[in-house]
Amino acid sequence: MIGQTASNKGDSVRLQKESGCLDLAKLVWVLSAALLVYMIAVPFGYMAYESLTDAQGGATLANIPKYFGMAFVLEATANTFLLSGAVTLLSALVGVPLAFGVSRTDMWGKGLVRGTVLVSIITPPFLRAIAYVILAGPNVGYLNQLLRFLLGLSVESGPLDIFSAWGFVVLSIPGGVAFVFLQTASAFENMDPSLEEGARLAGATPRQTALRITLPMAKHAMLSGALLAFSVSLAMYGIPHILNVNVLTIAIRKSLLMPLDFKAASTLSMVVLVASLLTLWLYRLSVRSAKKFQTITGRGFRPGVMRLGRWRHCFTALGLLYGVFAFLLPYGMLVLVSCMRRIGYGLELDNFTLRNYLYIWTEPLPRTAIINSFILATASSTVVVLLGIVIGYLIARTRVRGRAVLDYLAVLPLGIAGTALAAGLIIVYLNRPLSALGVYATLWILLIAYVTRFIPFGVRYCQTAFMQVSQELEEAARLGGANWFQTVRHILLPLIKRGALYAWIVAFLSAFPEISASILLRNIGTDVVATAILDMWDGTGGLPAASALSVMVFLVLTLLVLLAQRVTGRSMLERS
Amino acid sequence: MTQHLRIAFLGLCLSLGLGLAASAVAGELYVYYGTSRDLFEPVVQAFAASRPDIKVSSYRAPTEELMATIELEIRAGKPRADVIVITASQLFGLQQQHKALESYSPKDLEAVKKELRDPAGLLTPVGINLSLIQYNTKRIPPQEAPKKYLDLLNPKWNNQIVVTDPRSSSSAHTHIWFLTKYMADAQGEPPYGWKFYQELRKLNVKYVASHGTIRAMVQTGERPLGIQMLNDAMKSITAGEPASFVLAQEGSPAEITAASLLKGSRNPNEAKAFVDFLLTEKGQDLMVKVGGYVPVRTSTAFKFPDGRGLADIKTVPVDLAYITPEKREEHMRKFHEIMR
Repeated sequence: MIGQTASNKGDSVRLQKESGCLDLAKLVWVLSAALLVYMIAVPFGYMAYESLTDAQGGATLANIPKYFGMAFVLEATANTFLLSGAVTLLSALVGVPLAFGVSRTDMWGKGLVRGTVLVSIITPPFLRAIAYVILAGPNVGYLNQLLRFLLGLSVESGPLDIFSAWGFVVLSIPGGVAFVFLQTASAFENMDPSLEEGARLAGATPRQTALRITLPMAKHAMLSGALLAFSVSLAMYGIPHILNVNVLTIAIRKSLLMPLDFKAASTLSMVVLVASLLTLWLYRLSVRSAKKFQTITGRGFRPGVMRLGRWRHCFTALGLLYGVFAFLLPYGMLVLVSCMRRIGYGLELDNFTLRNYLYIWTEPLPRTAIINSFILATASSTVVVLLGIVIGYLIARTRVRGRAVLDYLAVLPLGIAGTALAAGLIIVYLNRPLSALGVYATLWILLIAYVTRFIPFGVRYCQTAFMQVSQELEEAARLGGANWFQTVRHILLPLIKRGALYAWIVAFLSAFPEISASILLRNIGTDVVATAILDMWDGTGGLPAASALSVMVFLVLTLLVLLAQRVTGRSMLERS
Repeated sequence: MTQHLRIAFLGLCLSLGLGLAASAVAGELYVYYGTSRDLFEPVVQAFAASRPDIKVSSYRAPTEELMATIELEIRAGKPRADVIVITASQLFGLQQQHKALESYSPKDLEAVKKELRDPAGLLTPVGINLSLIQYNTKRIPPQEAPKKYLDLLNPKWNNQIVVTDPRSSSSAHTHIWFLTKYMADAQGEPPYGWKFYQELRKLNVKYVASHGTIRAMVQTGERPLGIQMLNDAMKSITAGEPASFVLAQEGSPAEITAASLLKGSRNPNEAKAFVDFLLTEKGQDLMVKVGGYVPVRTSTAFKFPDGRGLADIKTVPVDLAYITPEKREEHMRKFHEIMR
């Protein structure tokens, strides 16, 4: 819009009308916007209706005290907020020093920390949970056996117990740290160094400078990282499922088991939704503040690296702890277990085999699940990008009324728990009138869920890509006689190609191991890798086969990230 | 552009047409079951191999989850399953609540033990599953393994026992019925009744979603003792895992696993063929060797790993009329009140 004059605006409209494309373009916009509203608003509108009405359909608020008076719901609610709070606090306590260490000090092992952050972001947390059940199970977990030996403890159980509320917190921390790290490292790297230099010149020690200047300057970024960690913890499903910890996402699923209670599921989902949206709103505020802060003081050159002498190894030690416990140990364990015949015979030499990798390709359940996950991830990320291009264009390039609503609507799913969304979809698509579509129990309902969940990636990345393309190029093409479609096809799309590809890959990375919506929506022949892993964990094929499939998921995601970095020339660790 | 769209549309119509034509030719069958996949899927696949004219699809979920799916579909008037294979008590509840089952008299019913047959023909028994105590042989020598359920309350088993959660496992209700009702009536409360679970709680008993998970925890030794079902315990043995089991002295609750046809099924003939198959010699042989069940057919041979037959142990038939949906809710509520 900037720099666009009234006359050339008039020209472009004239050109569009002349080519006869405007009506079709409008139709595409309207349909895409309607689809977005439909996908997001319908399930949640229906759930809001269920949670605010009684059995006869009369308006009531009685469902909230009714369900939150139930002991297991009350416990789940308390657990959700307390544990998410603990995850957030601890993630900030680890993530901020790590980000500072990597971006501003001469610590060792920066590559390990960055790698661990990347792995924590791209791989689903339930893989870590499976590994830690074997590592930190209270009785025979390898870490417990080692600790008992090293500390000379004569107890038969502990000292670690992963099947606990603390297990949930500890296993959620690597992901939380990664979010805090991404936000704050970026702030530390882009900070104007003149204030720090001023402090140093005025006689402040490096410690005083860090505490009084550097950290306060990054506080908005820290806050936004912490809020993101909180929001992700609220919606966490895989870890509490494996550890059997009662939190709201689990309670939603349980209320959809016998006795089947839509009103309970809806009411619980709405509570998670409201909490998530509130967090998301605060997050957006904090991101805006952080950006404002940087814009005022930024100068376009990088602050220097502090030489801390031997003190740098405090950061090195923290980085090493993070790398070992969040990456090397759990994924090393999964690889080890995936090569065992029977988990019961542990590290005995003749217990090792590669047959579990054969099993996941020859057995119907994992094979179908792998195929389904590939289909769903490919289809959903493609739809997400196509919708993202249209909606992103609407938001960034037009003055269509209501685009601000679309902008906000398109980020809403970021704060929505997958189980809550799935509960909404089941209720909507099993009841009239939408039951007529027949999508329940098919891959379609999973596709709808995935597209709804990951649409924010498409809209965000494409919107940013459009904003980076100068309006003048478009104008020039139109003045040169190109119609709207030709302009979009030959000028805009080639220029946003990289952004769109990046969006596709991020959506694929999220969709391939999706668990929280899939666990409720799967049916005959529609298992996906995450539900197959859980099924194996529950007995089918056993832990070694579940680990082999987990390792395969890890490899697919890692390869895709490496490919993405090569193709787009953009690091997945950039803050977006 | 328009031409491309036309071609794409024609292609879509053609593939839809071909798909419909293909589905009209072959028979279809949808089977829902609740037991671990590796215990029952081979039985389903053996049927599929014997009837290549039928396209067989199956869905497995822990039983309580499966019941929720079935109920969702019945409520929406869109039942997908043609046959359901779960515990008789669950099927009984489904019939009580929704009148959802179709009566059928399978070909080989005469070969089934008389006492197991359902006079109304709504449930076809296909296997018997027993409650038992599974233990890890590397961590607990056979002579030290508990001999009866009350032995589990010995303080030395603190942090060692795992049971199933009645919220997700149907057979958990069998264990609960046996220990809180049947044994309480027979020998008094305490030591049985809910008091038994209160004592278990003091030993930090762990509860998990399914008997498959119990199998995993027992074999790793993370929880070397579990209240388990026969079919999962037999699978441990055939898979060479370091685990064995004890049929408790109090008796072994015998739970019937049954197959039922769903009313309004789109493929009733295929469903009947599948139920018939489960009662054949071959079907019952698979139910024993792969499924780990005690057969319902009198002519099918069966021995426990220690050489005993069914007649050599004390079995207690599960009281189907007792484990109603209301009782299940009560079980879940009381169990979680205690375990909290």
